This record gives sequence, C-alpha cells and structure tokens, in this order.
Amino acid sequence: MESRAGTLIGMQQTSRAMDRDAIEQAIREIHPDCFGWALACCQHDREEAEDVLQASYLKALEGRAVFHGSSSVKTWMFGIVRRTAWERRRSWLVRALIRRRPGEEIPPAPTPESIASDREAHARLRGLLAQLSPRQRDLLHLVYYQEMTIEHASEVLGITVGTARTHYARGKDRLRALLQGRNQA
Amino acid sequence: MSTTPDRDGFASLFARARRQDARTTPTFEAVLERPPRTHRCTLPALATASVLATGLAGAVLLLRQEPRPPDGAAGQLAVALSDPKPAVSAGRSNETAVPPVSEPLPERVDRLSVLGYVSAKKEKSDVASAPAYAMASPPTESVHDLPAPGRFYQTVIPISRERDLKAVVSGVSNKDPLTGGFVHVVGKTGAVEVAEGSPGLNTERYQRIAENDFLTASENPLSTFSIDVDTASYSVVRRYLSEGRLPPKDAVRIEELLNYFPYAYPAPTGDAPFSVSVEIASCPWSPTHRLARIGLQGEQVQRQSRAGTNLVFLVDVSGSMQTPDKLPLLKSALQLLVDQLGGSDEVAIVVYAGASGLVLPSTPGSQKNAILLALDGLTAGGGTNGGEGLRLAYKVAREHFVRGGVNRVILATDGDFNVGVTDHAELIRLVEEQARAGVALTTLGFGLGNYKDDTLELLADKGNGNHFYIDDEKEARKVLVEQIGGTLVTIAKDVKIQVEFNPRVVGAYRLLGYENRLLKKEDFNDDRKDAGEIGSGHNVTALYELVPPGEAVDLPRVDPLKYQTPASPGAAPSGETLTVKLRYKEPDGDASRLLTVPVTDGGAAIGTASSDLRFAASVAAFGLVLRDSSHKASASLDLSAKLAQESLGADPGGYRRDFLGLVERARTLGGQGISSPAE
Repeated sequence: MESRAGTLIGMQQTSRAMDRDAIEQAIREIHPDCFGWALACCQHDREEAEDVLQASYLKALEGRAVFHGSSSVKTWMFGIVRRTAWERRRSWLVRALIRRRPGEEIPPAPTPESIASDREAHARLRGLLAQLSPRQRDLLHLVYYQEMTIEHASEVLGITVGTARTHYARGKDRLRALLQGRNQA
Repeated sequence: MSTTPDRDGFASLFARARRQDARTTPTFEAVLERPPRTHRCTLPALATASVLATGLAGAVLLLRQEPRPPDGAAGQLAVALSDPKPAVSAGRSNETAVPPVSEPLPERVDRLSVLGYVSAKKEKSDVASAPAYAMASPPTESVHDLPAPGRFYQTVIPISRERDLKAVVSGVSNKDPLTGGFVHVVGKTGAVEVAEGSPGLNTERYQRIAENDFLTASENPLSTFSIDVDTASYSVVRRYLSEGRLPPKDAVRIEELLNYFPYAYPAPTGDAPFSVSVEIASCPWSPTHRLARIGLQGEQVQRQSRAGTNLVFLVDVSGSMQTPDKLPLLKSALQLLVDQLGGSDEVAIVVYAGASGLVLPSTPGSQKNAILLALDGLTAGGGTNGGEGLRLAYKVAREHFVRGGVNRVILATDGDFNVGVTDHAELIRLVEEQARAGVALTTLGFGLGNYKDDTLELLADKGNGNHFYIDDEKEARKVLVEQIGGTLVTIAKDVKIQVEFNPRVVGAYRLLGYENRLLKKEDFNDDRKDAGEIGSGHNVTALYELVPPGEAVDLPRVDPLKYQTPASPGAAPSGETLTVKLRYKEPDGDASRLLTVPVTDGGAAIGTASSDLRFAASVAAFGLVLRDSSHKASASLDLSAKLAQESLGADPGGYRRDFLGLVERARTLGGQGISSPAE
C-alpha cells in the first residue's frame, strides 16, 4: 500500500497536470480501495456508494477536480469521494426524497465457511462502527482498512494531523470498549 | 501502517471487512457506466423538498401531471404543487405562470410527475455574495428562487450534479372537487417512483438514403423532384466534425449541404416570385462529365410589408433537453427570434414533456419582456409527449389565426416523441390537416444523441414548413434572424422541378441528393401532390451530373426491349441540353403556375465557371466523400478544399470560410481515408 502511494507521489512530482489516461490508470489501480472508502462514506449503502464513486470518477476524469497538491492520487481521490458523498448527503432532497432501505445487503448465497464468517465479521464491525462518531469511524477505516498513515488520513478528511490523532485515539478506545462489551455479552 | 502489534484485533477485523468488500467490488467499468436506477419516496417529502431545494442548490424540480393512463387522451397538463412556506426569500422568483387548465382535466389525476435536472452549483465560497445558487450551464438559468405560495409552478431542485431525476406519483388528485381548481398536494402521501435518467444511450436515427443512380436520358428523359430548402444536415455534419467524429453516412444529405449556403443568383424579375438560373461546366470529380446547376432565387419580402405573424412556439422541455446544447441554446435561439417581432405579431409558448401546457398565451410582439420572461422560465425535465403538445399548439394557433398572415407553429425539440401518442401516422395526419387549414409547422432540431432527424424533417415537410438543425448560437442566428423572412414568409408553395434531358446531348444523368424528394413524372402536373415551399429570399440549389452520350456509365441495365426499337437519340434535333420546368403555387393559391427554362451547355470548364458553381461543386464533393458515395469518382476532401478555396468570393456571413474549416477538420479526422477511390 505504501509503496504504491510512493510511486504515485513520484508521478505527481514529475507531472503536475496528469492527462486523462494517466488519471484513469491511477484510479484503476486504487479502484477497490476507492470502493471500500465509498462504502464507508455511504453507510455501506451499495447503490449510493456506486453512485458516489461514479460521480467522483467523472469529476476526476473530466477535469472538474484537478490533481495537484495532494500527497497521492489516493488521498486526492478519497477526498473527492468524501466530498461527493457529503454533497449528496447534505442535499436534504436526496435524504428526504430518496428514502431507501439503507445498507442493502448482498443477497446471501451458499458460500464457504471463511467467506460466510468474513461477511459476518464485516456486518458486526459495521454495527460497532455505526456507534462511533463519523470522524472516528472515517479515521479507523482509513488507517486500518485502507492502511493509510494518520497524516494521509487527515489530508483526506481535511483536518489537521493533531485533530486526526485525537479522533483516532478516541475511536480506538470506543471500538475497543464496544468489542469488549460485545464479547462479554 | 500496522507497525504496532494488533493487540485489539482491529487490523484483522478490518482486513476481513476488506476481504468481504473485495468479493463484491464492482469493476471500474461497471461503476463508470452505471445505468439509471429507481428510488421510492413519498409525496410530502417532494413538496417540502421543492421549497428547500431552490434555496440550497441549483437544480430543477418540475412538478406536473401526466395524462391519465391508459386512455391518455383525456389528460392535460397542469403544473401543480405549491409552496407551503417559502423558507428562503432572497433573490428573484423563477416561477413560471402556467395557467392551470387549458382543457378539461380528468376528475382525478392518477399520476403526477416530478422531474428534476441537475447542474453544478456554485462553490461554497460564492454563497455569501450570491442570493441564490447559480447553475454552471446555462448562464441564463443561473438563478433559481422560490415560487410564491399557492401558485402553480415548475422549478428546479438539486438531486446531484450528474443525474437527472424523474418521478411518477400514483393515485393522487390535486384537483379540488368543489372549486374545480387545484389544491396543494402538500401533505398528501403517495408512492413516488424516482428513476434517475442516464446520459449515454445514443438513440439518434437517420433515415437510410439510397443514392440516386445514373439514369439514361433516352429511357428516362424526365427527372422530377420537389425542392427542399432544409439545411439541417449541414449543421449535423458540422456538429459531428467539431466533436471529432465523422458523421454517419445517412446523416449526410447533399441537397441540404448545398442549400445551407447563400448563392448570388439573379433576383427575380417579372411575375414569378423567384428566378431560375442554370449553369453547366465540367464536373470536377469526373472530368469527362458535366455538372449542371439549377438555382432558384426567391424574392425578398421586406419585413415591414409583412402581414401579422401568429407564432406558437412548441418547446420540448423533456429531460433529454437539459444539456446546454438543447434547451439553453433553444432559449437563446428563440430570444433572437422574439427580437425580430413587431407589434402586429403574436407569440404563444406551449411546452410539452410528459404532458403539455400553455406557458404563455398569445402575446403581442411588442411585449417582448413578457415573452422573454416566459422563455427564460422554461426548464427541462421529463418524458415527451409531442403529440399532445402539438395538438395544443395548433389549438392556440387556430384561436389567434391571422388571415393573410403567417400562422406557424415552431416546434423546437431533440425529436424525442416517445411518450404518449406516438403514432406517427396520426401525427402526420394532424400536421397535414393543419397545414391545409393554414397553420404551418417549422421544426428546429437540437442536440445530438437523441436526435430523430427523419421525424422532424417529415413533420416539417408535411406541415408546409422547414426543418433546421441548430447546433450553436451562430446557427440559431442564421436560421432565426437572417432567414427569418424565409422561415416565416412563404412566397411560393408546392414548388416542383422537372428537368427534361435531350438524349442527343446527354447520355445519362444523376441528381445529387434530393433522394427523399423524388417525385413521379406524373406528379409534376398533379396539383394535389404536395411539394416544397420557398421562402422570402431563399436560394434553392440542385446539381445534376451529366454523362455525354456514348460514354459508358455503370448503371443498372435492363435487357433490350424485344418488340420496340429504342427511341433513337437525336429524335429532337436541338442543341439544347435540357429544359427546366417549374411548377409552383402562390402561397394562398390552389392552381399551379408553370415556368420553363431551356438551357444549352456552353462547354465551360469548371475553372471558368462562376464562383457559386465552383463552391457548390466543392460542397457536393464534400458530401460525396462523407457519404462514401459509390458515385464519388475522384472526389476527395482535397478536391473539395481546393474548389472551396478558389471560390470563397465575398463570402457574406463567413459561411464559406467556415465550410473550408470543416473540410480541413474532416481531413484531419481521416475522412481522407474514406475518400480514396474504390479501385
């Protein structure tokens, strides 16, 4: 993960304005990460996440969002995804008008044990994370799921590193407590 | 990152989540090309939403009823829903005064459509200074504010930047059973289907053109066709080329390319409302052949002497019209036209989408502001019911019929007649009927991607009008301002051309273009057969490629007749090459008049021909190449460019220079490749 970010940083330094193909290539590389982040930004509403991701990609590819000054394509793209999701969320219309069942599940199919347990673990984690503040949740996702540094995560979220550390620490504490509570129960 | 040991098990927990997500991650392509989707919501949300949205971001919500299914005939448009409490009061109102009923509404409205379209909103930093959010495109729609309470309105609300939104409400009535008026639907509940529209599907349609073949003068001495002053094909071709694509072959109509350009034909003298001039020179792409040009010049009717004009704009406000090259361009185009109107002119605006409605009742041309305001308020969203809209437009036009004046419906659309009454035959019958009753139909085509070229052309043709394709402001100006006389004032109708070739001088001939305007030779003298109109100041140009007798041409031959001797060439001992005969009717006449012009080929080379003929040859060569015509011979874009270069002349309006640019553009796009001779 870090090494990929490293090459992208290099790319950014050699060419400030990347052309469309280069951007597309860079996005393709991090597409699975972006999807995971989009899910996290959309409360795991897949439809919404895919919409947000599509809109974000279009912004990047059509030059409506320009890559410069970010540490990597990943932090840049994540920032776009986050803002896009936020714009859609903030649009009260979407909230009010499009009242759908949140977090539509993938239809369960007979799967090997490991996959089933992954799904279970995922659902459980999601339930726990839902009890965190959005900022704590985002930071834990970026650090653990996306394996980002706190610095990069703070860049994605547009907050200072100090603030990010605080929320990160609190998020961990809260999640730990929740996990223990759950385990005791 | 995880340099610290995973004491809490967070890393493994997230890793499993990650693994799980990875199994269900759609591909990059799947995300980019996501199709539209359907949502559900409730009516109160819609009602409330419409208030807040106008203050918050800059997209459109259009609320209206759709005709009741399944017998959609009963329905009429009403833009409904009102604003219970205008939360944001800053800025102007974009309310459009839509008279609620123009025809009786059904007792109960079963469906209510909610349509929105989206455009970029201003950046956050701009909010403080701007009273409302601006839309990135078009600038004319930049401010969206709140409608007054209790009024019918259409408005724009944000859904997202990229999406179109449609909704259909079922089982709701907003008609007050006591007063017959509309009641607010606020507070009523109903399930709403919201389908997000998706761009991308290209449903353009062009009628296939079967090119005219060479015909022998001995077997087919008569060539008969209706004139056509449409120019839409040129704009379509230009639009494609400017987007870096070669146009589809069937979008290239040579006669429409030719007729796009003004030519300096002699002004009419004498009784006929137009002049006829013929010029013959060597054919640039087949040097042994001759190129004959028939040019018609309509007389110029001064604007002052124009009788009153009764115009009804029928504007497509369906969802597919939202892009900047459609509704916004249409609005600026119509604004240009409105500027041309005087006090004796009347203008009404009818819109159509899922249903149709009168946005502006007939208003004198002197009240420009009222007209412009109504135009400005038009917003896009929704399905299309061209049939209903057309009926309403005709109704309005009939109510304000100006005897001896111009009565015309101007249909502006991307041609998407795909909701409701879509029976083409019925639509055409209506248009023909109205044309006979004196209300003509002009069609303006907009946008690519959803453009039904053949429908629009057919309707204009049947409606005694013209069809234009408007791809930019310049084209709008050309059509609506420079050609306004021609567009609005018909000086002769049912103009037919019949050319008789002298087999002694002409072995075979081929008419370039006019494929869908060909008439049977008997139709020429049959006044019941409809044909094209010529407007004030219009040019009409037709080109024939002539093959001298004795020269072999590749043409479909039938076996020689067994019982007859073929008519011997030279039956008429005349040096004349051909005779052009024209039939036309006065605009309000029923009996046709005949003009006859005999022509002799003086043997000129193309190099010494008039610049008009050389330029027309250039345009024809361009069309032959783009159509990849089997008769293009040595025609190439290089040839076209060379001919155009040498025939620019004074070029008023700069159209010829633009054309030259277009040829260059086609060359860079590899259009040259398709121009290489087949052999």
